[in-house]
Amino acid sequence: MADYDSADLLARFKRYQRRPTADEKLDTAGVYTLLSEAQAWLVGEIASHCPQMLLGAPVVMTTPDSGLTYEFGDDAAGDPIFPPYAEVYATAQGREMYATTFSRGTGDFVIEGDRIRVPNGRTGTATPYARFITPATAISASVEPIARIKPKDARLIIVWKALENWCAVGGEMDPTPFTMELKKLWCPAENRGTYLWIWKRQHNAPSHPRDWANIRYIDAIAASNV
Amino acid sequence: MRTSLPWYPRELPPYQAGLYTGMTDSIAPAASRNDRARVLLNAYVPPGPPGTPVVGRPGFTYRGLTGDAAMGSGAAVGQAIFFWKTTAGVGHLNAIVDGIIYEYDFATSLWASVVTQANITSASCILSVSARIRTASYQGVIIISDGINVPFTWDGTAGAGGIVEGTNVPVTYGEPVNHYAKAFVIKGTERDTFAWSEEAAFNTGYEAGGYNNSWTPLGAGPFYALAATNEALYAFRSRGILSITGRVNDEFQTTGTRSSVSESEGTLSPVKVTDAGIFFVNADGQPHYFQPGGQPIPLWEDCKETIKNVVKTALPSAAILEYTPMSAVLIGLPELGQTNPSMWLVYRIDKQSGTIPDLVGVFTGFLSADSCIAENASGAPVWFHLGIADGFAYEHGAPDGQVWDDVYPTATLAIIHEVQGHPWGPSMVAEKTWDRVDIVLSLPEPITADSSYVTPRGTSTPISVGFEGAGGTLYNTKAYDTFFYADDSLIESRQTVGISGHGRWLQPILRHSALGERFSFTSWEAVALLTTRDRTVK
Repeated sequence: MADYDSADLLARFKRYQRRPTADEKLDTAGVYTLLSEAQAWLVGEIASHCPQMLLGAPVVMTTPDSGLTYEFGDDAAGDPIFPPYAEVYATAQGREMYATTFSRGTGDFVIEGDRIRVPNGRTGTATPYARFITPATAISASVEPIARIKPKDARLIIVWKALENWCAVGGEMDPTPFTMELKKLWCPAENRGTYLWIWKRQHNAPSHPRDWANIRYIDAIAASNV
Repeated sequence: MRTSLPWYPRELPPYQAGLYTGMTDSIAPAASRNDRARVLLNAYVPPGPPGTPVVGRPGFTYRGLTGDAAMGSGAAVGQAIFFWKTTAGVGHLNAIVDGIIYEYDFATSLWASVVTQANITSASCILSVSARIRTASYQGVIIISDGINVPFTWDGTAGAGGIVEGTNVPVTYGEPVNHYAKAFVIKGTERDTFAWSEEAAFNTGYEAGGYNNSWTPLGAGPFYALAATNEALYAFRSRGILSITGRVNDEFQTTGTRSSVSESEGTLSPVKVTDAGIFFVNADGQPHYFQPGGQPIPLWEDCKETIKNVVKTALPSAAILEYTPMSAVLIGLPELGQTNPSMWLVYRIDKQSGTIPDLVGVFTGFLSADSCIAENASGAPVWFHLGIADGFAYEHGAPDGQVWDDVYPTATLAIIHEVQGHPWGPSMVAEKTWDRVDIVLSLPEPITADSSYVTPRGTSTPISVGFEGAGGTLYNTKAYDTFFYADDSLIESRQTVGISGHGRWLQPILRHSALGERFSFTSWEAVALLTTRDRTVK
């Protein structure tokens, strides 16, 4: 068992949960389910606030209908992937594509959730590429947490969220202690040493166009100190 | 507008039970008790001060034989097992199997045949090879009666030499008794008549040789058992008990004072006289007892559910023993499908004077054609029973001994121990979420047991729980849910079991069955959550 792998998250859950070793209320499979649900929640949060932490190299998209639409691939169940965050490029080198409406057609594609569509019912002439966040798969004894959630100790967020969710099972317990621990790691307004802020500010550099204003502000501060 | 704060289930004060004084098997949750277990199966409350933990019953071991191979042959008929003493105080543990008398040697733990059918025949006696045999110690010899032929006495001598036929004795029913140094018997052919011998002369008296030593109490009906105390002779009908006091002499029929102990309670089974009183099982299979001069007191109310399947037609095979190592009277009853005792009710009789014998456990797991309490070479009482189909005799271990399995010739079986508590938190209304059960055992060695429970919604799946024994470590060095106390003598092991029960009440169950493991139980406690804001609901 390595630090913050699936077995370690399971052990930490049980340790922090303070339930008896022999427990009818929750078995190992049940804990993994809660951890998986918590990881899915965390991926959604990261996708909303700092998606760059889970992005990788562009991958070619696939078309099931000769270029009318393009998908992000299939999940384990064979269904099209719904990425919570995606960037679409015309080439592997990265010319950005822009979304539009279906009828207006002034942009490159129409957003349809688990796929993009070429406007005006046309077909694409070249296969696009995408950088996107893949929804988390279920954690189990043989499936590890998403490797790109780093540093590894940030995966404690998954544990505390899973414990918070566990309290909601049957509405039987006050989740406040676990919620407080979750907030300490994730995003309390008064504590900027948490992972949300770390991930947003990791490089203090433009990782996304909307962050450029912050960088210019920081540059301005630096310039005034010259 | 005010918004109510979130609220969560309220943890109720813990429900505790244990340090049981005995068992009461009532099934109504509203009648639940915390000082009584609902079931103590193959476990009992031993003698000791309040708080003495429940312990598992000892196991037993089959005993082999030398000489004649009928006993233990696998198909032999066990007819009787009995312990008696000669006038010199020499003890004999004998068994009769296939019409052959065997003697047990405590030194070698072996049986040996001492009187064969040929010996009996050469002594001009007849002994059935299959009928249930009743015996009684009388004036230094043992009376042996198969209920078919006239009884004979035996002085313990091997071979035919020690046998004396009771030529003047009628064929008898049931066990003879010794009263005023006379042998009293129920006449097998006239069951409403009992007859007796002259003093210290088993073969003299009755209705032979000019004696008129018999009595047919008017309207008494057939007798099923006799019992004698210093105060009186008791004659048991199926639905009545007659007490006869007065010196037994030539005018006994007229000078003896008859009085009725009961006009409703009687027996179909043998009875047992102890210092604590006279124990009997009534014709409905319900244990009773009475003190000389008193009325029958029911002992069955604590085991009404346990004995509901007793076979009434098999009650003549019921047995009652006084087993002093447990300070208990053991009452063996045949359950559904059985013709021999398959269940033993354990009644403690060592409590304060005047206290009614207390049901402290139920033993099951074996069938006995007959049983007795013998004395070993050290004078310690030892419980023996005779198998029904194999003819083997089985020696039970002492409560402080080393035998914790049931050892048969063909297999060694783990004893099933089970403790069931009474339902916790019975309520007409409040549905509870049952969160955990803490179980405390007193153990010399580690064991693994199964914890489960019953709620109005059903029975849970057992959860296997390991308990530390003497081999564990000391308090405060264990994980969160395994606190442990230890010193040189007392080992207390606690385990917490997380549960997910729902219902108005919860009945805990702990079951243990593992070879070589001793069982002991102290107490338990449950935590429940109540999903209502009404604090008047409990």
